[in-house]
Amino acid sequence: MTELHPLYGALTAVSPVPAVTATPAERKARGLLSRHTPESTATALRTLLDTDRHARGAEWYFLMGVCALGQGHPADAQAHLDHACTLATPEAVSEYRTLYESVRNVFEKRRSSDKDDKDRRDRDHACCSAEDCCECCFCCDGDGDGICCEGPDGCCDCCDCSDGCN
Amino acid sequence: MYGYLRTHVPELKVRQQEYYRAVYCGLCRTMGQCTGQCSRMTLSYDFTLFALVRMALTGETVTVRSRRCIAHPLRKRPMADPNSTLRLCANASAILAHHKVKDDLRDERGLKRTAATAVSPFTASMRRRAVKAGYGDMDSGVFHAMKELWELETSRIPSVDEPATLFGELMGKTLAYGLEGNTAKLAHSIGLHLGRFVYILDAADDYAEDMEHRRYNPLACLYGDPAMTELSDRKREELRIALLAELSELERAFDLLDTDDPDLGGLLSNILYEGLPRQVERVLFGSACDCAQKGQGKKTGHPRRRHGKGERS
Amino acid sequence: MNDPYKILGVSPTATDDEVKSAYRALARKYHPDKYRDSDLAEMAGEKMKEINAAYDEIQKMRAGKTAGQSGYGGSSYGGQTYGGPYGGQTYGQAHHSGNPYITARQLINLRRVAEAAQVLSTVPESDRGAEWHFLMGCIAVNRGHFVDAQQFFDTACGMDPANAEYRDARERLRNRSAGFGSGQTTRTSACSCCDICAALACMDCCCGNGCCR
Repeated sequence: MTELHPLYGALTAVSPVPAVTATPAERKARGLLSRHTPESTATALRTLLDTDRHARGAEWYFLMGVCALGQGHPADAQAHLDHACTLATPEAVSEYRTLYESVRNVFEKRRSSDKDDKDRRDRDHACCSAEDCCECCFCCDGDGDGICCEGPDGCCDCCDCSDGCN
Repeated sequence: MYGYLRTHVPELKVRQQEYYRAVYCGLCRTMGQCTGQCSRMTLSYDFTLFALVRMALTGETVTVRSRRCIAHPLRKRPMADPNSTLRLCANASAILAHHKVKDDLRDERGLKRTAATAVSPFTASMRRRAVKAGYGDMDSGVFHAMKELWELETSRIPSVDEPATLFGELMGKTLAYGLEGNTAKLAHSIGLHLGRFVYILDAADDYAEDMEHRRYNPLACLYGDPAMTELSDRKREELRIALLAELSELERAFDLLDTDDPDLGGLLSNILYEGLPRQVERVLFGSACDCAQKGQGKKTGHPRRRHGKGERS
Repeated sequence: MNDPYKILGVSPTATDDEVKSAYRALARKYHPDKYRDSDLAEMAGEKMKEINAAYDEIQKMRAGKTAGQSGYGGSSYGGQTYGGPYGGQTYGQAHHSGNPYITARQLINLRRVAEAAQVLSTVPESDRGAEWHFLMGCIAVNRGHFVDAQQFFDTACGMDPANAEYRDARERLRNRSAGFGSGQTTRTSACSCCDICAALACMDCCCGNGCCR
C-alpha cells in the first residue's frame, strides 16, 4: 500500500477507544488505524488477518472494513461493515452503522457513470457546483494554468457569478 | 476471457457497429495469422475492447477491407487488416488464454478439468507462437501475476477487492505493454479498472453456481456465509455500488483518451455508458435483457448473431 | 500550436456561443475537481491547459477581428483570414508603437493587463476618449472587477454610441450569466451523401442475415 485512498480520510475518524469486548489484536489494530497512515493501515490489516478464524467478531469485521476503505476497496468495505453491523452489540452498532451508511453514500455519489447522470451533469450549468467553475471565474483563465476553484465546495470568491453563487 | 465488455447494440449507430464488427473480425483474422487457426476459438469481446482502447491511445487507424472468413464463407464482410494493435491483442489473448487454462487445470474438477486438459495442448502452442513472436516478457509477466493471484485465492483471503486488484494490475500491464509515459499511465489505469470490473462481476455471476458445487469464489470467502446460496438483495446492491464506482474511475480515464475518430469515440462511450452498466444490471438483477440481447447467450454471442463459439477460454 | 478550433472540437465558423459552450463542456470534462483524487490528475491538468490556451487564442483572434471590422454584427467570422486590427499586426508580442491604444490592446490580448493599465495611465486625462474607457473596461473585466468594467463600458458607449464593439462588450458583460444552459456541445460528425450510402449498405448486411445461422 503506497498511499491511502482519498475517501479514507474523508470518511473515517476511527476513535482509538476499542470496544469493551475487543481482543488484544483488535485493540492493537484500532490503535494503528486511528493513526491514518498507509504503513499503520497495512500493519493493522496484517494483524487482523493473523487472528484465529473462529474468534472473529463484530469489531474484527469493522476494523477489516476500515482497512478495506483505506485501500479504496468498496466491495470489501461494504461487506465487512455490513457483517459487523449484524454481529454487533447494541452499544457498538451505531459506530459501525454510521460508517457503513457513509461508505455507501459516498460511493453512490461517485458513481457518475450512468448515462442519465452524465446527461444531467452536461445540462447542469449551475455555477459553483463542485464540478464546474463558471466562466466568470477568473482563476480558470486568468493565469491560464487551469487550476481553479480549489475549495472543496467549488467556487472561490473570485467567482462573481450572480445567480447560483452565494 | 469473460465477454462482459461489450457494446449495447440498439444504441449503436450503424457506422459504429460496422466499425466494431470490422475490428472484431479483424482481430479474429489476426489471431489466425499470428497464433494459429485454433486460437480463433478464443476470440472475445474483451480483447476487441482492448484493441479499440489501444487504437484510441496510440492513434493507430485500421484499413477495412471486405473479405471472406472460414467461419462465414458465404458472405464477404468488412474486416480490419492486421495492424500492430491487432497483432498485440492477438498475442496477448493467446498468452492469457493459455494461462487461464493452466489456472483451470490447477483448481477445477470434473467436466471443466477435462475440457481444460483437452484444450491445453492447443493453448500451449498458441502461447509458444506468441513467445516466439517476441512477447516473452508479457508471457512471464502474466505467468507471475496469475501465480500470485492463484496463491492469494488459495489463501482464502476474505476479500474480493484484493484479487480483483491483482487481476486488474495484470490487465493494466497488458494494455500498457510497449507504451510509455502518460499514455502508458492512462492505459494502465483503464486496464486496472476494466480488470477489477470484470473480476468482481464474474465473481458475482458465478456465485450461486460456485456455492452449489463448493468451488472457490472470492465473494463466498468474503461473505463467509454458507447459508447464503445465492446473493442476497443487500449484497447485490453493495456490489452494484462497487461496480459502478469502478465505472466512474473508468469514465475519468476514458475522458482523457482523445480520438479524432467519432466512430471510435462513440463506440467507447457506448461501451462505457450503455454496455457495461447493462452487464451489471443483467448479472446482478437479471434485468436489462431486452429483446436486442435475447439472442445473445450468457457468455457467448456475436455482435450480430450468435457465434456459438466459446467466449470463455 | 495546433489549431485551437480543432482542440475545442468546433468549426472555425462556429458562433461565439458555440465556442463558449464547447469550451465549457471540455472544461467540465477535464476539471481538476473531477480528477482531484486520481493519479490521472496531471494528464487532466495538461488537457485543461491546452483547452484554456485554445479558448484564449480563439477569443484573441475574434477580439482582433471585431476591432478590425467597422460594422460588427456578431454573426459569423467564417473563412476569412485573420488580420489583426489596425492593419494586420501580429499578436505574437506587443509592439510598442507610438499609439498607446494599440499597445494596450495588444497587451490585453496577451492578458498582460497590468502593463496595459500602465500604458493607458500615460494618456493625459484630457485625451481619454471612448477607446480609452473601453480598454480600461476590458482590463477591469480581466481583473474580475465587473462593476468598474460596467462603468467604463457605459462611459465608452456614451461617448461613441455608434461603436458596435463597445456596445457588444457592454451587453456581454450584462448578460454574462445568460449564456448558461445554452446546451451541451455535440460533436456532430459530417454526414455526406457517401455516408448515407455506406449506412444503407451496412443496414443491408445487418438485416439480411440469411446466411449463417
